Amino acid sequence: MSEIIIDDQTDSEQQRIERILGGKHEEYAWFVNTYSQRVLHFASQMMSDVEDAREVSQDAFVKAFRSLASFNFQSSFCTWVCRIAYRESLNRLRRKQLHFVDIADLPAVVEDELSTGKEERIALMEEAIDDLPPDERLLLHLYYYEERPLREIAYIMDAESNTLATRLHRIRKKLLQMIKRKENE
Amino acid sequence: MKDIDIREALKRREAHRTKPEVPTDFCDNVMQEIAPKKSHRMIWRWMAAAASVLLIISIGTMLMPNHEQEQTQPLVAKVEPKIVHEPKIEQTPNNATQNDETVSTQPSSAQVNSPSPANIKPQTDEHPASSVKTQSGFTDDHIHHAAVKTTDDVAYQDPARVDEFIAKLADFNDVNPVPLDCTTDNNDNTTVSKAYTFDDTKELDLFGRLLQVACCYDSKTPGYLLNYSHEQLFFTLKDMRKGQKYLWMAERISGDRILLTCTHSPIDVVPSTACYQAYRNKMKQPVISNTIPKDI
Repeated sequence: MSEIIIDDQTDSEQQRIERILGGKHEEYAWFVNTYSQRVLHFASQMMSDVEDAREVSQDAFVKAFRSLASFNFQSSFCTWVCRIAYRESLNRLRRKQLHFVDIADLPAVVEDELSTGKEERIALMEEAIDDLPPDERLLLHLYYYEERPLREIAYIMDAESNTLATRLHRIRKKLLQMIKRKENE
Repeated sequence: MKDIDIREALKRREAHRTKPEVPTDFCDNVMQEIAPKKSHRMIWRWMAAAASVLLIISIGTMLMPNHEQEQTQPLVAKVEPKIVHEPKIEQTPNNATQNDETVSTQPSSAQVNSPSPANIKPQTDEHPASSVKTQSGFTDDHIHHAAVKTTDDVAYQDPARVDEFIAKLADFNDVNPVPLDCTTDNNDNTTVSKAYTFDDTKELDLFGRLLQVACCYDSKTPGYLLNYSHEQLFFTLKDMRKGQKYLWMAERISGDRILLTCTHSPIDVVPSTACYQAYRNKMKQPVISNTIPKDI
């Protein structure tokens, strides 16, 4: 990732992190209190179980603080913790042996079929999104709901932007196929 | 806008979804996780640093060649107790006023057999008492030089230097030495005696010069004896290394002259005084030349 992602609070975060590295450990609490809600919400996109999401968030903060000296301010501290939380979520999901659906061979769809605006389609779409694997659901959430740029999502999910764009295209085709299947049921 | 259905579905989904709340002890749990791990890391860092230092020291010690340590000799006295300083200084008179019998004093048997410096021999175990002794009475190779105090506290001064001085002085003043035969036994040629006749002038100041030479010697020098008056000067020394004794006699005689005799002989030999007396009587005659008498 060559892009630099900087939030408004980066300057003050950098000063606080330098103080922590200098021995003022009370600054840890500021980061936890400021970003814990956002990190937990992020983790809940991956982990359907709330307790799992909390554990992932907690582990993400702990790992971030232990590796604080290696933080290179390439992103905001919160984004960095979300990246760690994403990896932690994937590890947990792999331990639970979740199987992801291969969508490589899904048929091509027309763009208009995903932009009908019909109530029935939106309801089916909502159900289809819930049925997606966690990482695909997170990708949709970050891109369409939080409207984060692809480069930031790529940093969090440790992937190339082009790869994520391809994945988004496949997820859309997969969703259309799932909706049509539900319509036929 | 593309994918309207997806965006709308996500909005509704988020609206319906119950957002998880951060538990109150979330921060405390995080802090508890950090604190013990952090201290462990610090301990391990210090232990690793200490182990590294110990490893470097031990490797350095192992790689140090043994001869490097042996090169640094301890600063100890190189006491060689087997070297004989014989005869011992205590056995010789060291006071000029002690007696007037120095010339006739019989040396001890140890003095008679004293070797020359070139003949200093390692002492055998049969004579341990004559070795150089430390103050504490025993020898130790590890005693520091400063701790060694020998009984040989008189610096050696060669008595023959007096003869050399007189010879140069005579040569400078064109005075020829006259050999005297002062042996008691005709077969004895160990006694060497010479007579000089100097002019008694203030410029030469022979008495003063001889006194200066005598004062250059330590009064503790073996055989040291000095007697002098306005008319006569008598000076003796002993060379314990060479086993020789020296006698210098100066006397003011008629004709404003000074008769100086120099004699050295082995310590145990008693030279005859008759030769001095005979030559002295001749020199006191009114007509005296500085040539060798025919009858001597």
